[in-house]
Amino acid sequence: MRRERMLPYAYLSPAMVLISVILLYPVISGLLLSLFNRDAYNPSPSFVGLKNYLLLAKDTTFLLSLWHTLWWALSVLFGQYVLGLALALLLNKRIRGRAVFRAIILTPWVIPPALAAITWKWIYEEQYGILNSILMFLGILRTRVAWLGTDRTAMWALIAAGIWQGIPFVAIVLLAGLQAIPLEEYEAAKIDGANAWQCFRFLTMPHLTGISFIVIILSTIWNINQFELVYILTRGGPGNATQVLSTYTYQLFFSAFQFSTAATVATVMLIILMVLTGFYIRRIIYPR
Amino acid sequence: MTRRTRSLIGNLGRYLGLIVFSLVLVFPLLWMISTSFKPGNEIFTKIPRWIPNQPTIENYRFMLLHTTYPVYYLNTLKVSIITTVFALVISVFAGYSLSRFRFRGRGFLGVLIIAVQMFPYVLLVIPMFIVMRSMGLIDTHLSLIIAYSTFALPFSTWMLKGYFDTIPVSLEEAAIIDGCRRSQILFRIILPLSAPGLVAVAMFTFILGWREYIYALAFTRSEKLRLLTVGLALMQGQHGRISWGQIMSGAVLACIPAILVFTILQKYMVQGFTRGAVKE
Amino acid sequence: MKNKRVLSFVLGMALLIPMAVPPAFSAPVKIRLFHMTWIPGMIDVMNAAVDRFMKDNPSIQIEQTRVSWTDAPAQLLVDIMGGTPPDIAEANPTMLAQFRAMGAYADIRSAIPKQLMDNLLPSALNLIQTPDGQIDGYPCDGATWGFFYRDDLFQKAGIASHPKTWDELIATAKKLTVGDQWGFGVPTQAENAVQFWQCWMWQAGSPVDKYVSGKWVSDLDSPEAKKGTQFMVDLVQKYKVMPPTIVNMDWEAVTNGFAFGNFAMQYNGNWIIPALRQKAPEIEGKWSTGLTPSAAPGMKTATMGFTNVFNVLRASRNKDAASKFMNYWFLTVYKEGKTFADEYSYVPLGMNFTRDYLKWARAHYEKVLQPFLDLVEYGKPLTMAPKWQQFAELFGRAAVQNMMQGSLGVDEGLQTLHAQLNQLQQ
Repeated sequence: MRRERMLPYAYLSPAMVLISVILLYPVISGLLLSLFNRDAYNPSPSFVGLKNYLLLAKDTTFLLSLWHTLWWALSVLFGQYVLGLALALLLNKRIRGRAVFRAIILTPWVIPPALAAITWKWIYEEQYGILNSILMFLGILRTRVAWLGTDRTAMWALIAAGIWQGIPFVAIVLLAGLQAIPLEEYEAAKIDGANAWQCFRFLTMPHLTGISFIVIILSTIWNINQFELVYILTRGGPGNATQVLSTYTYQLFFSAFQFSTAATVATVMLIILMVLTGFYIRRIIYPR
Repeated sequence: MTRRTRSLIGNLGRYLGLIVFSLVLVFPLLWMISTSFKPGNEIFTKIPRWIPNQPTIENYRFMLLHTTYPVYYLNTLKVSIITTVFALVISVFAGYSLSRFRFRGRGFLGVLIIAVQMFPYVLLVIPMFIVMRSMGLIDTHLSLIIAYSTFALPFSTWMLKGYFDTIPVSLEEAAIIDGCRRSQILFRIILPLSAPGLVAVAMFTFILGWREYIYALAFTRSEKLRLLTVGLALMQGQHGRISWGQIMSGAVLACIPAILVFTILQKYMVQGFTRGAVKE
Repeated sequence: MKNKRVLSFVLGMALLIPMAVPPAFSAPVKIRLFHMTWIPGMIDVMNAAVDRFMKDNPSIQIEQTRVSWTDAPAQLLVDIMGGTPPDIAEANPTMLAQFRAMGAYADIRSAIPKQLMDNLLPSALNLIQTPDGQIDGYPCDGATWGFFYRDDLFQKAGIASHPKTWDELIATAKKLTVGDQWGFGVPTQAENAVQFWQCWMWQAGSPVDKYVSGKWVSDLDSPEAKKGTQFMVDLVQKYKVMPPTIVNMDWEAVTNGFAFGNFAMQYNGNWIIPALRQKAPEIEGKWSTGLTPSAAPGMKTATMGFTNVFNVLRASRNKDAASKFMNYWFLTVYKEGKTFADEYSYVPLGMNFTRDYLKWARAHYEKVLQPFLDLVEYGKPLTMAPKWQQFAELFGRAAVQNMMQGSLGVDEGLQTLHAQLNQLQQ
């Protein structure tokens, strides 16, 4: 009997050991770092409590980054989910050539992010980028647009690339979820006279709830932590027009050597993510 | 309108949608492929061209025959395969535990697994480096296998838990009454029914090794252990002779294993499987 | 019980004794060399030097760690803070200022050979010497930044000569700005923004950041600083010879523009020449290079021009071995009368900032590179104040880009930047 009671913990323990040692300890040391005033130039850092947080609240670049990050996260998530769901629904039927489509749509997921970012940089380039070329050819544009060089368009260009990058993951996971829905339920619904939209709304979506929450939580986390895309495409520029929290914290740590300030921004990111995803997490832990 | 016609139109719409999606999603890869066949002076041209004036396979030849790229490739293949197996095993057990058992700390541990991912991973490099160093794992592939498996755990565990949740407990109850051990239930009943979830998790973990950069850079030093992304970045340099054509050819080749793996694993994501024996 | 404890203590101590006695023979010393060499020919030189050195010094083993320039600062930081510092590390002046402020470098005053010291050009000497007399770097390959001109486009516009002053630059660029073509381009994305901003202020006569009685004090409130900043902004806003989207262009984007005729003139480093030739072999012979202009007739010009350095880290436990290798690198003749250091600079057609090399280069370098040799005289490294990089990253870059785009006024911008810089440096 005792063995049976230990079983859940036993099953969970390899995962917990790895996470504690590899992730938990570094995260905690990162959180602690924000309570000191460590930077490269300070030979003896001291404990300063929440001072860094107070200073951060007055930092205009931080506030700007915060705003951009929220804008970025919500836009990208919306695009990823809606388009990913659409794609999963399209892939859910046994049509000819399905295997080919399923492989092709993986592309954004499969290209190393740094290289995808460089390619997008070239695509968006004002003079020799293919996007301007195509849009002008189609007559949509009359003059070239510097997508990444203009304040107004830079953020949207980034968001588009971010959505592009995340669609495959959402699609594949939702597809797995769609596959779990028994066909009999659809047949039963059709016998009862439900049309396609009703099937979708009252049959498909409820089944996808659990997995959707997981996908939304993880996508939000990854989107907000997304770093390479913004860094390579715009470095946060022009000016600070596309500065987000992840690039700001990187800049603080690795370029300005302000370790504690960087950790403070990182902790704020952690708190934001917990707030944003808290609702969904509760629904997963206590589903019914 | 006959039923047949309606379904044909429906299918046509489906194909159209899939084609549009595919084009948009594969577009950058097409540009990368195009670049990889261009000689140095055609990579940037005043008027961008899809098909170069003088297409060449020199970039591929150079990468495969005259650089250490094949070494990087094999290294990454090795690390990602081992990581996938390792992470899959751990997350199957963890996901099952979170799904089926009700125990103290269940909610908390579940949340913790996800929450640790929320700290920006770029800042975790140094403390993780120290952990790895204290275990003597710097400049080994093992450090990356451990790190990547851990990165994959939150998604894998939660994905599998969510997937296991959709499998009715009633299936297992019959087996428990028959006297089966948990591990038997797990392997004989649950796993075969979870193929799509397992495939998603395996894909995710496998791709991780091919994409990751910051930790691959920090944890391995030697040329012979280097992973692909780091190797390609090293070839990029900063001034002067950047061989974008070569780098893009390396990038294109890097996409192949993941696409191959998924194409093979695809058939395990079968459409609708019967629950068979027990009705709700 | 007590006896048992005493016994185990004694035993434990006894086990430690053999470790305290130095070994009878010396195990090979291992040093790690952290560098960013990436041009294949230069890698060959480095490998040759390391192999030859190890052969001549069998008790010293050298392990190379090669990283890209982009990753270098972060990687070095991880190494140092993670407890595995290299023994020798390469750095550009930006890294030099940062890691020097961290106290990461050892003083090599006594280790650097006198031959090398006497041979160094003043700018290199200034770079490796800290204000309090410490020397912490061995200069290696370097570069200078100058002007490039599309002579075919000049000819088409009927312009006979290259601009020598700011006024001439404005006039020439205006004539060359027509249709799709801009008269002038300079990299302004990311770190370039602040780097070139300094150049304009130097040309106007401002030292940007002064070292005065033990402290670094901002000069950004001077009329010269304003003149330089205003000129840079006017190029975009007033004279419109540069597009506002220049703020998103790095060295490669500007070089591409120059190659395709979108920029008739560019301000860039000598090291872009191999890339330019690869991108656009069809314009070979149609472009030339020259000195940066002076702010006014009679004033000296100024530009970026500096050498990278190899540093011995303070945390290294084998500083002697490290210095020995660096001496070997600089003094041993490798081929054709050139030392390893010379050949290392020669491969990318760069500069070794020594008098001997400069003399040799004048005699051997092609015509298009000669102006860069002239520029060595006017080249300065970026401001070496310890907090400058932090200032540039957190405040300078965004402000400069905003000023150039017209969303921030020059007076207001400079006032804020001056205050911010002094705040950091107090």
